[in-house]
Amino acid sequence: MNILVFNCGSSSLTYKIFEASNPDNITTILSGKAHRVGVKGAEQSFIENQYENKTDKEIIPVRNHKKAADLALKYIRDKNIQIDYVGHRFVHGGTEFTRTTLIDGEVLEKLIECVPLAPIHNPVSLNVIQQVGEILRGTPQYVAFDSAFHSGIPYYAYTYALPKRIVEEFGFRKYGFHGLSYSYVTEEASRFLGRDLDGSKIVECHLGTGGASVAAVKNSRSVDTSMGYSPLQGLVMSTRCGDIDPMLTIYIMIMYGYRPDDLMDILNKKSGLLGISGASSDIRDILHSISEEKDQIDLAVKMYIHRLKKYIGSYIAILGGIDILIFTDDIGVHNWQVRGKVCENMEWAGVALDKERNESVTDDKTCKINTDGSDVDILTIPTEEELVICLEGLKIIEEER
Amino acid sequence: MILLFRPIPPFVEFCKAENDKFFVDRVVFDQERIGRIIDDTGQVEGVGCLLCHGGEVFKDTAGILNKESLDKMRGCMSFSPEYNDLTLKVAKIVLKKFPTQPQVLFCDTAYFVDLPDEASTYAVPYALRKQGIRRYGGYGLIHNWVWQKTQDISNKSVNKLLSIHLGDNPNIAAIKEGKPVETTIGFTCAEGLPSFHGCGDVDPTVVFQLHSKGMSFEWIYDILSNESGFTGVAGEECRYLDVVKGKATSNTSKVKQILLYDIIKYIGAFASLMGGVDALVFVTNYLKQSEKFIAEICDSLDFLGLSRKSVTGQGRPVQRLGKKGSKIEVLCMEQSQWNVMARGVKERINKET
Repeated sequence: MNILVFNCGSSSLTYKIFEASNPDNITTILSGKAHRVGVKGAEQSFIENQYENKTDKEIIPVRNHKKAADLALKYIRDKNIQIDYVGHRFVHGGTEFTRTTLIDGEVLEKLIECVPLAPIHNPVSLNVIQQVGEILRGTPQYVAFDSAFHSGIPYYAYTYALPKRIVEEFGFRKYGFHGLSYSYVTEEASRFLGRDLDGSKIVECHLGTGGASVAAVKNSRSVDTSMGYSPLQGLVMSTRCGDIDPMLTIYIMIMYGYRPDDLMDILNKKSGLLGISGASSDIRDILHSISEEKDQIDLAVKMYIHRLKKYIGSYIAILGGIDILIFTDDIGVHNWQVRGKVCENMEWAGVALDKERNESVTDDKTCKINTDGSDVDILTIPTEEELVICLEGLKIIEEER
Repeated sequence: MILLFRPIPPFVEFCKAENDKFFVDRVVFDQERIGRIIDDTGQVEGVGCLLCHGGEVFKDTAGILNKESLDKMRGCMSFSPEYNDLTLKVAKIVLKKFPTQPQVLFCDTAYFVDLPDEASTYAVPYALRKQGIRRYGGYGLIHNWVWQKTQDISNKSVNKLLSIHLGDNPNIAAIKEGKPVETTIGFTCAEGLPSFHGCGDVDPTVVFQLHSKGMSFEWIYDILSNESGFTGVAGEECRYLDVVKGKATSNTSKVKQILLYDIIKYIGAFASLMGGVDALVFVTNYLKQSEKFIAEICDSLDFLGLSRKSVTGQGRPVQRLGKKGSKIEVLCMEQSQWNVMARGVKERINKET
C-alpha cells in the first residue's frame, strides 16, 4: 500500500510516498519539496524530487501551494506510482478535531471552518486537500492535526494579555506547533522505557534545522509549548527570531522605515542563528565555523543554548520537576554539542548527562544518554513529521477495516 | 529635606523626603508648576531625578546630574520618548534652581547595561544590535538594593539570587555574584510579565496581523502598552492590588492565574540559567497585601528545594519565609523606589560634605 503524505510549510510543500503495510515495515519511495512557494523576491522558486536514487531539480514559478501540489502530482503520475491514501498535516483543527480523521464532505466543511484558527497554515493545507481531491478523484484522504496534542493547554498558558475584544476578533492565543512530532516522540519514549508515562513530567525539545520548539508534557498531552500564535515565537531558530519585545518591531519600522512585509520577512528568514552569526543558519556549520566574525559566531551559539535553557527551566517549573528530557528532530538527535551544552549545570533539576553516551548517539534509533545515577532519563528520539503522518494513517486505516 | 522627581506621563511625580517620611504628589508637567514646587519646598539638601531609559550611555544607577548628563539624555530620547522627555525637562529646571546642592540622576536601566551578550541580544540581524536594539531591563534601582540588602541580612551565603519585584509593573531579575545575568523586561517594559496595562510576552506576529487589518503603528503601540496586561485581560481597569486583594472577581482571578503562572515560568527559566538559586527575594511596595500571593507562588516551587513557613501577616518590612530545612532562602521585603532614591541622594550629600 502506498501512502502519499503532504506537509505544508508556510512557504514550502514537502511530500513523500511511503510503501507501508504495517508500522514496522515502511520504506520511503519518493520524496520531494517545493521551495519558496508564493515567495516574492530575488531568488526563484524550485521543486526538487528524489526518486530511485536520483534527484531532479526544476526551477519553476510556484505561485501557491495548490500549484505546488499540482506539480508534485504531475511528477508522481509521470513516474506511474500508484497512490492508495493521501495524508495531510493540518496545523490547527480547533476543538472540533482531536485525532486523525478521514476526509468526507462533512469533515471538509469543518476543516473550512477551522481556516481562521491558523491563518498562515490552514488555508494552504486546505488548498492542497482540495487540489488532490480533484486530481486523484476517489483516492481516500485523511488529516492529522498538530493542534490535537496541544489542545489541552490551559487558558492561563495560552492567553496573551491583550485586550479581550482584540483577542476575540483576531483569535490571538498560543496554538503551538510540532504536535505530531511530540505525540510520536511521547509514545516512543513510553515504548522505549517500557513504562506508562501518565503522571511523568516530560520536557521535549524538537530542534529542527528550520523550526524548533519545546513542549512541557504531562499525561501524554502538552501543557505548554514555546511556539505561539505563529511559529515565530519561542526559541532562537535557524532564521526565525523567536521571542522578542513586540515593541521592537514597531520601533524598527518607525525609526528605520522598514515596511511591515519586509520586517516580517527579516524576522522569519534573516534572523535567528543566521541573523546573529552573519554566517549560517545551521548550528552545525556554526559550531564548526572558523569565521572572521568569531564573536558573532560564539554569540549565536550562546544565545541558542541560553534560550533553550530558559524554556527547559520554565517547563520544569510549571511541571513541578522533571522525570524525562527528550531531544528530537535533526539537531536534537544529530548534535551532541548542543545537548552537552544544554545539560551543563542542570544538577539542580536532577539532570545528569553521560558524556560518552551523549557522544555516541545513533541516528536511527532511540538512545538513552543520562548517567546511571541521573534522576532524569535523557533520551534522543529520531522523528520525521511525514513518517508520523504515515503512521497516523496506518492507525485509522486499520480501524476502518 | 530631599526632593525627588520621576516621570509617569503625562505626570511628573514628586516626593519630599525627610527623616524617612515621604510626601508624594504629582502634577501634569508645566515649567512654572515644577518651579513653584521647588520654591515651596523650603530648605532642600539634595535632589534626585529618575531617568527610566538610559540606553547604553548611562552606566551608573546613581550618577551625578549635570550639564553633560542632559546632553547624554538627549541621545537616548528615542527609546522612551514620553518618559525621558519629562525627565529631561525636569532635570533642566532642577539644574537651574539648585546650582550648589548635590544632585543625583538615577537611571533604572543602568544596572543592566552590562548584561551578558546572550541575555541582552535579540536574535535579529546583528546590525540592529549595533544600533542599540537590545534588552535594556528596568527597575535596576530596586534590584540593586535587593542584592545589597540580602547580603546584609541573609543567614546563608547567597551567590545566585532571583529578585522578584511585585507591583503594577512586575518584573524579575536574575543576579549572580552581584551582577545581573537576565531580566524579564526587554527593549521596553512591554516585554516580560504582563503589567497593569502592558501586554508582556506575545508572539511578534500579532503586531503584523493588527497592522494588516488597517491599524496604524501608533494605534498598535497604544493597544500593547496602554490597553493590555491586567486591564486588557480583565476587561476593566485592573491594578496590581486588584489582582492580589482578597476578594477576587472572575475577571481578576483570571489575571491572577496568568500572572502567577508567568512568574513561576520565569523563576524556572532563570534558575535554569544560573544552575539553581540560593535565594528568592520578593520585593514590593505592598508587602502586606501581597503576602497571600507570595505564599501561592512559593507553594509551586517545591522543585527548587523551597519549603516555606506559614505566612505571618504581621506586615513587617522584612520577612523570612524559608523554613529551617529549606535549601533556599526566601525573603520578602517592603521597599519603594522613593526610598531607594532618597538613600542615594543622602549618600551623595554625605560624600560631598
